[in-house]
Amino acid sequence: MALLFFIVRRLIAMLFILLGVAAVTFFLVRLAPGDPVAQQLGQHAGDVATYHRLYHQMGLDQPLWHQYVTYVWNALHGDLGSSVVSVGTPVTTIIGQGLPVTLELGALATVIALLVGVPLGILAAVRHNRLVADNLSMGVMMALYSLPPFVIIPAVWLIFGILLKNTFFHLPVSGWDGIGDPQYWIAPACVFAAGLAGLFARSMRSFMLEELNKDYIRMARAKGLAERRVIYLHALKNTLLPFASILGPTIAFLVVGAFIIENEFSIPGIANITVQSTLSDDYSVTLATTLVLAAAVVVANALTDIFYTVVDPRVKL
Amino acid sequence: MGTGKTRRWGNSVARAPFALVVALLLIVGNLGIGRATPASASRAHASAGTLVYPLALQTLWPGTLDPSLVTSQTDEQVIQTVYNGLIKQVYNDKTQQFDLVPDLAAAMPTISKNGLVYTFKIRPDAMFSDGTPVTAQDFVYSFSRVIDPKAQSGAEYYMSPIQNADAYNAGKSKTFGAKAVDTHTLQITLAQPASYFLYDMTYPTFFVVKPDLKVGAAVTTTPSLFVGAGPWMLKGGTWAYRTKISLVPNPHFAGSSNFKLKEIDYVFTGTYDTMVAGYRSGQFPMAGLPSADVKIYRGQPDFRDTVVLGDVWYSMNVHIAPFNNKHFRLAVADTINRDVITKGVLNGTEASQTSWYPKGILGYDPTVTSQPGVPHFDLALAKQELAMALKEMGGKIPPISFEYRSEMSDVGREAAEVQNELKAIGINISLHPVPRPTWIKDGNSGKAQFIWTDWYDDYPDPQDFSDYLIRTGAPENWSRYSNPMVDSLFNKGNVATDAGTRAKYYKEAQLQILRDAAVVPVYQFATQDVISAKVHGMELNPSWGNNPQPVANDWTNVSVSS
Repeated sequence: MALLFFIVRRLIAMLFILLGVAAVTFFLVRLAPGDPVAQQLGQHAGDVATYHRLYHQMGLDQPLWHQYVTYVWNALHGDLGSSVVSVGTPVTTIIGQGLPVTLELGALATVIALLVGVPLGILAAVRHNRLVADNLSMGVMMALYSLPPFVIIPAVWLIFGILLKNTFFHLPVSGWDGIGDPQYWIAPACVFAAGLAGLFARSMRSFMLEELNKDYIRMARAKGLAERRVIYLHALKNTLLPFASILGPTIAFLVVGAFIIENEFSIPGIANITVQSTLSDDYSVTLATTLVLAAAVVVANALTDIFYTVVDPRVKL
Repeated sequence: MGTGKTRRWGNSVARAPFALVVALLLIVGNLGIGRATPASASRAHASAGTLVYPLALQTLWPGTLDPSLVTSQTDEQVIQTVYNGLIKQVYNDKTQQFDLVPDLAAAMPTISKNGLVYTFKIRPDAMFSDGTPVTAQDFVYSFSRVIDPKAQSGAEYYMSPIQNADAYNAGKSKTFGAKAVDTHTLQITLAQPASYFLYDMTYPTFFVVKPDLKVGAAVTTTPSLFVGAGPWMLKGGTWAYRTKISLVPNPHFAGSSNFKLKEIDYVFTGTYDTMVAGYRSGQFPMAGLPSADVKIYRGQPDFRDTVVLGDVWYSMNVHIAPFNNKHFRLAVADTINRDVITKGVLNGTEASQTSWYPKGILGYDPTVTSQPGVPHFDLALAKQELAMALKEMGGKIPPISFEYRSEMSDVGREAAEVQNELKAIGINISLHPVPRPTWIKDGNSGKAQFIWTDWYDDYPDPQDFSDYLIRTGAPENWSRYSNPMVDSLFNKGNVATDAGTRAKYYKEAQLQILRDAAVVPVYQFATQDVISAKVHGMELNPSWGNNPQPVANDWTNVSVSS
């Protein structure tokens, strides 16, 4: 029952948050310099009669407050407008196609990052100050965390796309064929995971070190518990709370994906559309993707709060 | 705790995560890499009979696949493989001009003596890819879709020569000058004679669509609506949205049984860098080269280079000081060193241009700067003009701001070079990079003082570089230049039927435009690509930018060997 009330409270809060985000974004994008009509007309944007006709058709000649009210009314009925760059394409179609792809890529990257970063963080904490297990591995993780994707991607292309062409290890540099065809997602997911793994490893190491120095761990060892049990059953469990504080927002921001990765690997997700829409004054798409991100942050925070109560029954919703 | 105890529990504890990481790498590697070799064979361009055609589009999908809406060359590339019209252009290597030949028309049209009525006979075997015959009424309907007041089209400009097309578009007329005389005879009546009209008709807005394709139909996202009478059709009636469009020969297209190519796979890359990486990895058989990569490939057998029918000039607003002073404008025009810009700043990726009309357009004259009064790079002359200008302007130059597109890094470097060149003779300008929509808005407003301007041809005719760009009141006349004599020469050139006579009028107009120095032509765009030796019969031509085309615009010439 408490969980149900919690979910309902968060849904109501999300509605107000989305209305606020929509209002701020709506007015901000329209106040910024730019022109969606000129964008659509391309190099014929100087054609005055056509320009004014399209301006009117898009409703841009209405007062801003009127445009906002119309937008909210339509949005509540499931109509988020049409794209200017993809002429006439409903925004819901664009989001509906791109969002699952971005989520797939983000999920794959998160899983890889967790499976690499968390064990390495634990190992670094358990073998604290050892050259390979701690210093070297955390150095590599720090490097991966620091290196931007546009540095890693050309190296990946060079090695797996070009130098290893026509070998067993060859990977395509571009394209997407769904989660069922790993050859297309291996490279981008690993590039995406690189930074995440660095973050997870470094964080887990810090949290684990803090736990391992606590009295209850000393007591557990003194009682003669197997070390594996001490680490994985007791210490690790207590790192989950602070780790969730990092994981929750990270997952939320996966929703808008990694623009550079999607753009360079030609992955049809929502991230490159989001950035393209801001550069092209595609107001409807910008607004919709901002709302998606806001909703994702709210949902991720709610899931994190629920997770807290699962891990630590003392925490109440 | 003793060291031995630490080592024991350290090893057993450490083993688990380490083993997990190694297992993960093995699993992931085997999943992806292990499948690369057999799967990639089917995707590699080396697959004989299939052409993988990469297109750079940041949204990974054409902006539109509706011929009535298209304004982008990349969208055109996909559209013109599935749709077609009455006539088409064929690039003539010898004359370096574009010839017009019939496509769905049985022959070139008969034109009335007054130059107003064009009568086309449609081929009786012309069919859409679903086997439906193409009729004259289909063309009338297709044209009406472009100028329908409800259509959110920015492309109705191309229909303007047709009688009442503008009125129809404004909702003020229920008819316009296109009618189906009978099932296979189409008659188009113009508002006034226009010798460029047939070139205009090669633009996709004149392509025929099925009569059940409504205005505003979601062609771009609905594969079942993507049906034309062109040489290719959708494979399996579907596509992978934002990933790939696969086409197979249209069995109802004349000559398609002779195609050696069995499939075209349009794939989309977010950047040209990705495309080049794909070419180097063997994933793509051709790639457009970003300017930084041109020097790597220049001189190699797979390298291709062509000028395109597009150019850059700097517009100087004749109503805003100091550009309202002709001597000042001449001083600027005489200072710009095009070769430094094209060969130095732009790494030889564009071609210097001194004439108004680019190479490949009737009216092009590479010797125009030898004519008296035509500005050309000459610093001594520039200083003389500047001195005269200063005398007339009271000795002071007001602030000058050079506006250009901020998202194009090459243009940024070009602008810096212009700033340096002008500074050398004592003209200081500030640089004002702006995003594209702002650049367009400022240019159209007539308030831009000094602005980088460009144009790509809609069709290969000088009218396209005259009426839209430099005639009095023209939409992209950002210098707000006006000369009735030039307008009159355009009017004569637009109606003359003989190419020689047309060229004479346009050249005369060009001479005056350059002498008036409201614009400084700087360079003609060029494009560089690489095309693998395994691809035969595809080449660059000046009308299509980075997109290779079948030689002679005929897909029977194209093949891919393994």
